[in-house]
Amino acid sequence: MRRFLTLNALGLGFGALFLLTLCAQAVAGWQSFNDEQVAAQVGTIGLLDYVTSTDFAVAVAENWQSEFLQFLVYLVATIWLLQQGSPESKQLDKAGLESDEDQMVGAYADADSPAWARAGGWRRAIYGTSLALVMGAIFLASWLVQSVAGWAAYDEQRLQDHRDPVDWTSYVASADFWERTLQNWQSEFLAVGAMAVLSIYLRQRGSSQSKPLGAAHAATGIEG
Amino acid sequence: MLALAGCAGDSGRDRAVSDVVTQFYGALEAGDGPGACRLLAPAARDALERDAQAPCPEALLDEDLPPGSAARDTAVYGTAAQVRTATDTVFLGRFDGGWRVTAAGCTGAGDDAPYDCTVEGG
Repeated sequence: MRRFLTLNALGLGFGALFLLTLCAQAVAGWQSFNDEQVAAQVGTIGLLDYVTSTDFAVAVAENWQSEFLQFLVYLVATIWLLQQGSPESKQLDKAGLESDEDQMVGAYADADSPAWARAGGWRRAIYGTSLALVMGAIFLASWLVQSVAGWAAYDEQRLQDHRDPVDWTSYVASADFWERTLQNWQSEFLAVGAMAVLSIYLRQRGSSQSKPLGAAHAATGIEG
Repeated sequence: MLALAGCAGDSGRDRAVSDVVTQFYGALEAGDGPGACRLLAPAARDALERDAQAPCPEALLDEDLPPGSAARDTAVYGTAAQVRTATDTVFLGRFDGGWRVTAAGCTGAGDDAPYDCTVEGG
């Protein structure tokens, strides 16, 4: 058990952090929602009602979609875009999809390589982009959920304001939908860009996301 | 997905909302001011009494509300709802005691503005 925990500490640790913060968000969001309901002189709701509400769903989904988009864009952009001195970048002569030898596929696969990396044709093609496909699918699903839940939450507010509700197509063209979307996208792109650039000059001893302390600022594609 | 939107497929909830509107107008037509006032949201009741300087049952029966008719269209999103009848547009909110009328006697103000309502609050 101890060995299992040690070998999976990163995944388990972030899984636990996710659940804790999701629960905390639910409680804080519930209090905030009811505070707005009181201000609007309408009825408050219980915690269970809140966690099954569209208000909670849109608050969760709008962050999920942007996080998965961030990783998707980063994953794909770092195939071609380089950053001298950054541990987030590949080495400067490696831009592009790289050779079969570099990628250890087909005849260059070794005994421990995944079966679909040893295979050719469609299986290698799919496996070669499987991480981006899954990240992209989760991004699109989360964004769709955001649009539907956000639409319902938006119409709830419109009815409270004694205005007519709008349909989904009007909502996805609305300022509310794009403000929710873009406020998350810009923060994700800022954080990723800052990490790529700051990690040229700054270090975190022992972290896989940093160069070793003694590595030159110009050294590219080296992680600790 | 539509269930997530909270906007379709829940006929029980739609019926609960339209039933309140039917009961509200039924009470008004029967001259049952207290019964109609019990179906008003607290803020709507307070605003009515404040504006009319009279108790809710008396003030509500004095208001020039349109005659009641069957619900033609019901929209429910979370804790808010709208019911259109042939003669009126009514807004409701969900409270601990059930759905209550937050605005009645409403006519569209145009340009996506809030409705003008004879009775409203909350």
